[in-house]
Amino acid sequence: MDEDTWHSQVFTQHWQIVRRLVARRLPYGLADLADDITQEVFMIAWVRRARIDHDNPFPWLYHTAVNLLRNRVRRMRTAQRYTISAEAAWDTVAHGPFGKRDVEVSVDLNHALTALSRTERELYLLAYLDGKNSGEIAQLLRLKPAAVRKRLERLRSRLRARLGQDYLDSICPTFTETR
Amino acid sequence: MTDRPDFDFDSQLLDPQLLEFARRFDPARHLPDAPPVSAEQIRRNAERREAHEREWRANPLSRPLHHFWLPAVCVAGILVLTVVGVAVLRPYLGPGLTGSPPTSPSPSPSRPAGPARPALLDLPAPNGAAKQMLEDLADVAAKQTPRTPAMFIYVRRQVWVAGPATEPAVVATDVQTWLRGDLSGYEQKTTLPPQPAGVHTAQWTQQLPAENRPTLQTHAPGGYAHPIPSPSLQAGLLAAQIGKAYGYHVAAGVADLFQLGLEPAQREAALQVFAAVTNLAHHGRVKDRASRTGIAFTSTDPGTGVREVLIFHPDTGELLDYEKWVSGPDGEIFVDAYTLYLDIRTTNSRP
Repeated sequence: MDEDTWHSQVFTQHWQIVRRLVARRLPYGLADLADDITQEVFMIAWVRRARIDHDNPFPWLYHTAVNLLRNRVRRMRTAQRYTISAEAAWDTVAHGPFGKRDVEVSVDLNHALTALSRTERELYLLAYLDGKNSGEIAQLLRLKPAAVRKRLERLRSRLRARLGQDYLDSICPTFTETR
Repeated sequence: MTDRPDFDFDSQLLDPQLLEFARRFDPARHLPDAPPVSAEQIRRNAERREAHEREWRANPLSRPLHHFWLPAVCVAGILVLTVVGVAVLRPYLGPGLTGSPPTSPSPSPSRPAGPARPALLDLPAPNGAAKQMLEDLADVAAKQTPRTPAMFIYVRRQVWVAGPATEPAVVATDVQTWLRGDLSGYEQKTTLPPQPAGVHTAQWTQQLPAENRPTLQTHAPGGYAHPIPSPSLQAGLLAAQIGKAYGYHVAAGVADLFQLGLEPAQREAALQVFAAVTNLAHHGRVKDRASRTGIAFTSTDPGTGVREVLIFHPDTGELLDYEKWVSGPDGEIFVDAYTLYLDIRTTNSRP
């Protein structure tokens, strides 16, 4: 397989995954950056194609995306160009695709996630939103699969305690009925 | 909306309600599926940027000006620190970087560095044999009548020593001593008003200014501190006393002896000791700073360039003026100190 074909294949398979991955980790009000950062990831992938594992490029894409995202957010916070706060979230309500209720819940969830460590937050995003299994998470976070499982159990209980059963039931009543 | 909706592994680890919650409020659920660009466009943009960066690295000067702000700030900072450092440390780094502390910063750029000083005395060129002249003077001194016995020997001097560079004028001190034979007595010092710099005549030699209060010090027997409290009448012994107390500074030792109000025989010995000093020069008759006529002798240290000037009364051999002149770095000579012996006599009155 020539390099152009390989890159096109990686792009087709992983563009959406990387874009969502970036969008889920961006603070409120910065969702527009998702496309920029994703595009940057695939540009770097093309430049550094010789160093990437052609059979399993996702770990490289994941780490590059997370690093780019952190750098970009850090620069913006430093420059004070954006206010990463609940007020920014309400701006998204006015101009973005989500309703008021969505933003309210997102703020609550964000508040609950701030009580977790960075690794636990990443674990939540990878397991619950990115849909990665314990083996994949272990590879991405450089942990043992057993440690990932242990941490997922702890995360589950901590997040539940943080959000509260009543709150979860009020958000997902249909699920409560079918549980 | 997850990237892999059906979890095919340890799904029991995930809380179903939390999973539902997360999916329902996934921030990425409304993102469009189609990428805004194609893979080919991505590759083209990456190669264009890579080529630009290669050119940039090869020729750093082609960078836009705002990329040079950091090096420019660093260079400017180093320059500013260097200039400030040199300005701060300059007074501490004298010739040869000795690190000696400054006497005082220069008060203003318009004034020359150094303290305000009196002008040098106008000394004629050396003439005659100084040694012979001093020995003749010693003979003259020896023939003088001893002073009338009295309770005190009274000596009045005007002393000036180069002070801090910030002094705008010459500030001398009037020193009067009333000494008994056992070196007890009184010492009265009065700070004189500032005298103009650059003139060779000392003012305030007669009437002391009323506005400056004198300080009076009483000395118990033996309390008046003098390096040679009982100078010998024999020149050889006196030379040994001076050598022990003053080392090579024989001229200074001879001059200080006159603080004790020397009798004619002591003056003779002192003049004979001074006559044995090397590098002596005789300058003939001159006017001292109190406008008195005397015979001037100089002793110059060939190593340091320090010149000591002693002016003696031609008829009595009394010391009228002792001065220390020093050479600056450029060879210019300055007055470093002077002591005018204004009056030496015996008295029964006390302050």
